[in-house]
Amino acid sequence: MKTIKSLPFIFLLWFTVVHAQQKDVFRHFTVQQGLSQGTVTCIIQDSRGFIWFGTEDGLNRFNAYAVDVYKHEPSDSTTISHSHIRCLFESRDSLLWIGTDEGLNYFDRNSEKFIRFKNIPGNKNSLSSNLITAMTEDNNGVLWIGTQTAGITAFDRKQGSFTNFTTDNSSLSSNSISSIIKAHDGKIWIGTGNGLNVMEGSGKFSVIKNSPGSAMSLSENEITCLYEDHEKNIWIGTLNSGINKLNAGRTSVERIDAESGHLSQNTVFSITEDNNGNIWAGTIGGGLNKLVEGGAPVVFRNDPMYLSSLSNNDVWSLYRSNTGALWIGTRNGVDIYNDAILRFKTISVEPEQPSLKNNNNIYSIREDHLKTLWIGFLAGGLMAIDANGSRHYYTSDGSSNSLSNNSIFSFCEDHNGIIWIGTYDGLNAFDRKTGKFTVYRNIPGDPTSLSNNYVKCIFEDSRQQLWIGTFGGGLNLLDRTTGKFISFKNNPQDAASLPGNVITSILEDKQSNLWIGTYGGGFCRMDAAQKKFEVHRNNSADLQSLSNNFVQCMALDKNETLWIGTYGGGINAFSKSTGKMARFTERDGLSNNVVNGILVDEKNYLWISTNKGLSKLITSGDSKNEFRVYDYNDGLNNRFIPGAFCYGDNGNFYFAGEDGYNIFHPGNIQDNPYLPPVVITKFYLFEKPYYMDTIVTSKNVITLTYKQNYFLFEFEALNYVFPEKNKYAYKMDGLDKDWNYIGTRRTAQFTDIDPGVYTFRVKACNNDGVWNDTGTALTFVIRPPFWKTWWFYALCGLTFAGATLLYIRLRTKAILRQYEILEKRVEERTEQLKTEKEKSEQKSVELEKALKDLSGTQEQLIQAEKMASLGQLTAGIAHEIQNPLNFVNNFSELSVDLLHELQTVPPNEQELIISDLMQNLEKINHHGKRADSIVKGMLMHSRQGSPDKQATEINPFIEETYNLAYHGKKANSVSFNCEVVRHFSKNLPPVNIVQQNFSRVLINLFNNAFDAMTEKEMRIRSNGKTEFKPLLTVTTEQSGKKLILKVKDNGDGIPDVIRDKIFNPFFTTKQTGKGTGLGLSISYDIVTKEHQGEIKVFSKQGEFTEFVISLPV
Amino acid sequence: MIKILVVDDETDIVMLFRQQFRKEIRAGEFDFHFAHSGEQALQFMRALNPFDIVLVLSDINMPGMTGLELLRHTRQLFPTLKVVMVTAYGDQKNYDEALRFGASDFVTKPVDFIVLKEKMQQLKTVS
Repeated sequence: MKTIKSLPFIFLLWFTVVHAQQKDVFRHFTVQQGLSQGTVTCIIQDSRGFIWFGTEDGLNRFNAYAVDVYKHEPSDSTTISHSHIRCLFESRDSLLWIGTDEGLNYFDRNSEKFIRFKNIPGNKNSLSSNLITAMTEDNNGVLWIGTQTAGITAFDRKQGSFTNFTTDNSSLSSNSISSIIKAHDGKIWIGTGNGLNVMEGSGKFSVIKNSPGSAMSLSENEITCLYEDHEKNIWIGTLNSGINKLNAGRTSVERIDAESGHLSQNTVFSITEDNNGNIWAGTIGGGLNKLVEGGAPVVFRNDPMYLSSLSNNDVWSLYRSNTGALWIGTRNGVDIYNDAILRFKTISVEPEQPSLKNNNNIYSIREDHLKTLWIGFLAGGLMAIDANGSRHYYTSDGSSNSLSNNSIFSFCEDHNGIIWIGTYDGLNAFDRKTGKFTVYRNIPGDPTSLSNNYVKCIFEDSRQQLWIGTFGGGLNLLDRTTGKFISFKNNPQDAASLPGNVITSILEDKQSNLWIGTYGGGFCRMDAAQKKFEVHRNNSADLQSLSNNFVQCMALDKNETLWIGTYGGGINAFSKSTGKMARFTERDGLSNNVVNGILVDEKNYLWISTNKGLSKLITSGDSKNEFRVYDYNDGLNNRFIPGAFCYGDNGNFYFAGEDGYNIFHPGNIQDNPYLPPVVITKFYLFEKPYYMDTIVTSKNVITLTYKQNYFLFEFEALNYVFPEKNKYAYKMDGLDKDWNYIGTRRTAQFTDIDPGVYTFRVKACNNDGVWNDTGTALTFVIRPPFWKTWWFYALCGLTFAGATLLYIRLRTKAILRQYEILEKRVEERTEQLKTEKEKSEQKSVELEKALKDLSGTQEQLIQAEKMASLGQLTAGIAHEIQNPLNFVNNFSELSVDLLHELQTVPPNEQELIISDLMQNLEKINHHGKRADSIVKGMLMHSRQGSPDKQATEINPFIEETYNLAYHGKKANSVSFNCEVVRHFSKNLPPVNIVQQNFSRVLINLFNNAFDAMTEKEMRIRSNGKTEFKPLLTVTTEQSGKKLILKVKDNGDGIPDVIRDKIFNPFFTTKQTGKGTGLGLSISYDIVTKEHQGEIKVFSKQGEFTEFVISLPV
Repeated sequence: MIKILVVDDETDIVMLFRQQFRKEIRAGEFDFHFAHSGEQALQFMRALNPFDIVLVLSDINMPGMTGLELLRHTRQLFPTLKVVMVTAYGDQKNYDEALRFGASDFVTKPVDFIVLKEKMQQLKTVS
């Protein structure tokens, strides 16, 4: 067999089918934005335009910006009956019905209250059960309510009657109801845990079930959801067997499942239809499916690397709102998907080579005359896409005919069809016929070689001369016949030289002038004959000069105006005749001042890629220029890369960035025509909110008293397409002459308005600035004051006196009662303390006895443990001392320099140096002390010193010991870090301790805490999460005649089963060799026997461990 | 202007560098930035403009992401940045690792600022 290995590889090349993926955009609304809980069980839009979300904990009303949350409140019977929401339904009289775990509710908008309905045991004229799972309304206005375990209830609101249907009193196939819908013909269909039912008459149900052999057989009887589409098919979701489609004639059932490859997952909990008639199915675990008839579905899944992907693969609910947007209830909040509004698509491509994959960073892009798209990645090589597929090229070290480097920054196709490629390391000429790369590089010492290997831009002018702009080496002109370069560089002494050596852009105008943009030096026109450059730079005193010198891109429009995009200074329009610039920045509506690319369309509009999306500048000849802005929400790249843009065939535009590339035709990008309805939602009186519904009477008039003159309106445009881009204006008739344009703010505030009649008007525009000029209005009246009357004063006075008296009386009573309670508590507590004291005395006697028993081996064990832990500590301590010593050296040397400088500088600068000197001396002192404390701690731990007890200040003692332990830990694991919170009680009395032994106890506790937290951190990190932050809390306090010392970590805790054993000798949870198993046991002995104290451990698994030591003072 | 990103968990490094390079900073030769962890440094790099000339000067021994990890990420995500590692005197193991991960250069700790300035001036000549 022939082996491929024997073939000499000249260059690396892969032929593949185009691997390009279009990125979808799901917008997210999660708990972070205010959603009451993450699992969204049901979604509905009410007749006024609000979207409601039911979650496992709370009901949410969404107004395109935020939610109002409704929850059950046990002490308030006007709240919802339970916070676990199961289903939502709006009846034809515009009442919102809510099914919960504890009964049925409807929401009274006028009072913002809920009215509850529940099962009354023994009463047949009530709900059959309280766990409501589904609802619909039949043509007679009767509500059909499904329950989890007790069949269905028909609620006739006119009669006020409840009729229950179960398997006992009807032909219903099961009492476990999952969904109820009304079909187009008014028939009620019921999905149950045991087949599909259709109601044929009161209490009469026909059943469709799994029955092998029958055309009407379901794949499974456990039904989860039902949906009737516009073609009258009924779609039936099942628990484990995909979807069944019951045809419009109700004669046959078709299966759609994972086995046939038509569904990503067989557990389906939600089905809906979009405006184009596509059926969407939400699965549990398999994400969201857009079904394709007879084929594989389009599957949307969560991609942790992509912000705008589906937020979770468990989809519980689906809903289509009036504008055609899909609302997706997941385990992680709501996603909003609206294909129709995506005016752009981001196509992500990546290198094929496995080691370079996961890289969508496109740094250069160009379409050649054969319509091949050339894509250059940062550190990912070159990719060419044409009708046949895609090819990838990478550098292959040592071969002269391969690409010179994998980071690609520029392209140029010359008149011969050669593709010139600028890389991080060298210029390449790619000949498509031979498939070979010719590489040009800088040769040190050869002035005719390329001046710099970092090639940023390449340009062929009308005379077919090839210009190469480098990053740092200026401009080069290549003589193709000799392969030699002429280079132009900046000469600081020559004002007519190239203004900078980092060349970012080269172009040519109709008069064959070359224009060159530099990063840092502004831009210039090249006089090729004279080899001179006419330079244009920023002049901070001249607002008509270039806005800044960091030019990133340039473009010429149809009027031969030169547009210059800068880093941080927006864009500049340069008039060649006057030499003046006009600037456009964020202030004028540009999306961001970092401009990465400019293309000009047929209408002479500018398309500008920035660090924050794309802007369109609508130029109109006069000064009335207008911007439109688009960003990733419109389907664009999140951030564009400077220089990565080009014109394509048929007037298409390419802009590339970090997520891939965008291709679009500028003529196809239309303004959103939707006029959003405007509603006034809330009214704040003295900062207390009122829902508009509850205070606006049917007459649409609010009446306010004279005193209520501090109020605020809150309003919204109910447009769910980029609501953050809606803008508002308001006008108070009777007060304002003109509209107040307030941008994206959604409130208007008023104070001290004179009595009178006013009309408050609001209007809004959508994301593209299209105004709904009708808006909405509200009339209100401010009544004149009545407080000038004498009787008013008198009444006030009397009321006040009465209230004061009453208050005094009530307060005295309350204090007396509290006093009694207090007295009783003191007695109880004294009794408690007495028994405790007796207990501890008894224990101390026991301990003394134990001490005697153990005296022999004790000393040896202590010594062994000490040496083991000391060994661990010292290893890294030398290293830790190095850092403070470096600072001491550096700052002292610097101070000497500064002192010298002090003698030479003028007096006004002396002050600055003196303040630096003072800081330095403080730092020297600080780092000196730091080293000192490390050394001290080490000595204290190791010395054989006096075994006698010494009166010791406990807080500084802990501090020193902690430092020692910390540095010891750091020595062994450099990445360790931990926050310490010290709750040190002040004015603690000195405590008698044997310092060297007691420090060992503390070091032990600290070390254990560090280990536990490190372990937890590792575990959490290995799960791909990083949110864990080690936290150690050290507390000292005095309690009676005891000093309490607590060391608490937030590690994984100690399992209950071993908590009793931890003080046993040789018991360890650590790996062999990592712990002696003596640490805690010796600590126990030191504390209890040597110091007559106590040591206890508290722990909760997964959360914390706390050691508490108490010592007698 | 050349941006210098100094990565070190010791916060006093800021004062030290500002004073050591006070003349160069005053002359507008270098634009110093500081990160106190590898994570912070990567965040800074992400916000950079691809045209920026940047020298990253990173300590190795840091809590969280170590300097070596930072070096590895930087070489992968921002291959055009120059990374100079600060290694402790005689720490051959880290030196070898850093070399393997593609460090542009090394300075030994305690930092000799005269040597460091020379290295930075070299970088300046390319721009």
